[in-house]
Amino acid sequence: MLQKILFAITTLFTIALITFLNGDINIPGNPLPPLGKFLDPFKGAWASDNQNEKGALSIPVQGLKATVDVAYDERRVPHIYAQNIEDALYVQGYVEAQNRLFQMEFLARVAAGELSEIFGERTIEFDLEKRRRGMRYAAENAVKGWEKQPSYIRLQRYIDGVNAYISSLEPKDYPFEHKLFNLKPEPWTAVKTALIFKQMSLTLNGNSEDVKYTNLLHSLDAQDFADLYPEKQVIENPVIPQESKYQFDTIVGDKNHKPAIFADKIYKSYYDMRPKGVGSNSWGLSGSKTATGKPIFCNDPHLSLGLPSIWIEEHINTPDFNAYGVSFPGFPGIMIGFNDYIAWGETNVGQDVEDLMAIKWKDRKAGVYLLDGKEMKVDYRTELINVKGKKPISDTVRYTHWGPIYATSHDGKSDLAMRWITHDVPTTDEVNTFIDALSCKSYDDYLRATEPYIAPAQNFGAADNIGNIGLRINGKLPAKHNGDGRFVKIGDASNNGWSGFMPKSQNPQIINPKRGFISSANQVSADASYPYYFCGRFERYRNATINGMLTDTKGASVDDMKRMQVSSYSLKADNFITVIKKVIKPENLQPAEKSLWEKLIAWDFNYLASKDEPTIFEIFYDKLEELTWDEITILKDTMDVRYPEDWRLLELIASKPDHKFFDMVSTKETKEKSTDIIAIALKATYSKVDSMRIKGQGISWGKYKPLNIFHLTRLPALSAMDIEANGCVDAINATGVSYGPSWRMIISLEDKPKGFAVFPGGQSGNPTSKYYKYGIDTWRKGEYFNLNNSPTYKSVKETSTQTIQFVVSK
Amino acid sequence: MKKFNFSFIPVILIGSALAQFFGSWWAMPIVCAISAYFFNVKKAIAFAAGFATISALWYGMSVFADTRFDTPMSTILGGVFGNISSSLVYTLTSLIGGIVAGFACLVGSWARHIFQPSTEA
Repeated sequence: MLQKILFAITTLFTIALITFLNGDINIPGNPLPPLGKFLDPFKGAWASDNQNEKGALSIPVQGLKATVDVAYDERRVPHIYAQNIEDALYVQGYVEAQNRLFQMEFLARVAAGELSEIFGERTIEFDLEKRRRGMRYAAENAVKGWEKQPSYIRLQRYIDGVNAYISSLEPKDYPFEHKLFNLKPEPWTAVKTALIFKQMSLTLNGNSEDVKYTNLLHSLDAQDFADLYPEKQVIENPVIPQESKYQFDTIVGDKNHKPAIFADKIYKSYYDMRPKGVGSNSWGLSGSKTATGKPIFCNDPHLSLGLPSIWIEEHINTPDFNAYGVSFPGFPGIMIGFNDYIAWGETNVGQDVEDLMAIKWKDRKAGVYLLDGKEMKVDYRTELINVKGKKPISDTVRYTHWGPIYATSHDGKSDLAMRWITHDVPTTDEVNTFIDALSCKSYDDYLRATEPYIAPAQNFGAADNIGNIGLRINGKLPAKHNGDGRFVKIGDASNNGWSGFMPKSQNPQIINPKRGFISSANQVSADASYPYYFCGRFERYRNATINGMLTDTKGASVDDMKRMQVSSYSLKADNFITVIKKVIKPENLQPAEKSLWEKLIAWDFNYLASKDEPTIFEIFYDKLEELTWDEITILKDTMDVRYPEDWRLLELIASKPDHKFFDMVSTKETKEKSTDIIAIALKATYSKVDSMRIKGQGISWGKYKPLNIFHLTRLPALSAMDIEANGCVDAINATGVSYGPSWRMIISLEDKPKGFAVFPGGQSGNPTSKYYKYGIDTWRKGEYFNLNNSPTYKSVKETSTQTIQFVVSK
Repeated sequence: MKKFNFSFIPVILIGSALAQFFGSWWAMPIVCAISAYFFNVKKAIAFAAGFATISALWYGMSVFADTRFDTPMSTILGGVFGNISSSLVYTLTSLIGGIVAGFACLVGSWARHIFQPSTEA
């Protein structure tokens, strides 16, 4: 009997062990993969090899109109040779999934707020924010609009290609991360494509500083607020240069109308969705400024630097076009690239397109709100969040006339609805923008192709080999009353909202400017004569650096543009040191501080990884800001606020050394001036630098702020960490700690255009592949790859690393 | 006393490899348990033979697979599992396969002893 009992126990234990090793192992905060299934050498991680990146494949496809050939080159860039656009898009979907399937699925999950299904409880707050922001609602609305447009069939072909790859997979072929997180690839849909695009909208246009400004407005004296946070900055280098005054009437009705501002502080923290460092540079030179006499076009978007890269590089050839560039995996077409006639690219428009509206509820039930004196019912949308190892969580989001209730308060008096352009149902064929761009033959063609584009609004620049260069602020932009959208508004009157949308014909734009170049780097779009009100976050230093360099440029070559694109010179550091040099007396400094100061004034303001000066300046600047804005730091303990812009601090140092904000709160007996603050900041900098030296920490810029290129899941084992790279957010080479130039591209628009580009990653999403981190070192060194846009398959095939032939199947 | 039938080892080795190749990883312990039942092996020997055979299979397979990657999978897994060495990753892999196989063989052998005691080894 005892034997039988022991046998039963052993049997049950064995079954339990197998079950345990076949399922998710949930250690709070750090879920482990199902170890038996994951380490199975036949189908688990060990089977995730990179053999599928070699050899020759032939794939029969139903619905294909003609044979499509694909050759992967020595960097694993796919060269797609199709006979028509629909077949080309099908294969684009296939190859993107083949190389980046986990990334595509993961990004759609990030956008939709579905990470807790993978990571468990620790991402619930993250997911809830995405649900309350209405990301899936926005994606579903996008698809509602897209379905009515002629290009939807093209999107469907792309999706068919993605799904053809997914359905070809056996469990042993699943991407490594699918095995690690015990996931099964799911069919791709139009909503997932929309989610990826909405995520980009969030990164670039999810920009609500309304709460911060509202809190500052109600916390500071009116005069101080106006002084520290001037509504209009001096416009020095607008995207569209002032060649003539804008003279048209806006569609804004009553120009004197001021939307009602929420009258209290809001004691709640919000996510800051746009970390410092997101932005882009783009410029184009006319032939009058180049060595070849033909335009050169350059673009480098500064986005999250991740593994795999946010971009995938592709060459697509059909009888109608021969295009090369990058796309977001999951979205058809090419967003930044070139063909045999034109080159195109984008930078972000900083205009605020996300406003928060305080809702007036009828009663404490908070289901009926007041709008224009009428009672309006909210619509309820139930959000179910699956949590790994736990029961699902349900959250009901209320939708108003303005949009979803994004933030709630304990008494309902500051419940905020979000009016965000990204939620709107598109009424144009926006998906087609980056598909039609492929076949443009001139700048005029490009203007037509990009006309349907909606959001996130971008500065669309292009150059053609006829000799044209042009730039247009493109996207759906709200027509605002003066001051509209800077603060949280009261949501009980519809005229507190926008007055409609700026007609595209009134968007600022220019073709062939007299100065011989176009440029954009996230600065203000137009000069002060532009009749529409603009507010948002606009860049100050990069654009001035670029315009300064381009103004002086003559006979430019591709190599000149390469040097310019990787320039690490910081105009901000230059401006600060130049101004401070005028106001301080070095003889009054202690020897230690003086030695630092002398180092800074001898510096050329280049943020080189090997140099100490950038580190010293950054520590000094942070201290200077912290000491000057100590009154605002105190507010940060209870509410969201922000420091004034750095150019405003510079102005005060230069012109108002006795400004009351230089007086420190903590020293009641003395009244500091700017020079005192500078001396204290230098002393504190010396102390910090000295302590870093004593501890044996390197103080070179590359050691102090190394670049981390994280894997999507932030697992260090799959990431590239501690890269010592040149650059800073204020330099053209805007490399930050995790953001930076995600694709540096230079196109010489000769009769046969030549392309040069690099991105800090590789084409493959497979961490064991040599193509996973391929370009990082080339990118770090400021070097480029020559882009092979050969129109003939045969020449690419000769040096290919893998070929795939898609053949028509009946 | 009946001698240990050495053909038990190639049977579970090949049987498990085929089962895992065509099916899920948990087909391996099923093959092990059934084989141990029919081969009528002593419990302790069944456990030891199952553990050793499948450990060796999983170890060998993972070392062989690792040669096919541009970046060794063992390096990546070592990082994922908290910066452990490649050889420890191979060992972890082989231990998991071995322990499951050992217990499965033990169960198979024990079942034979209980349900067909007359044929006990």
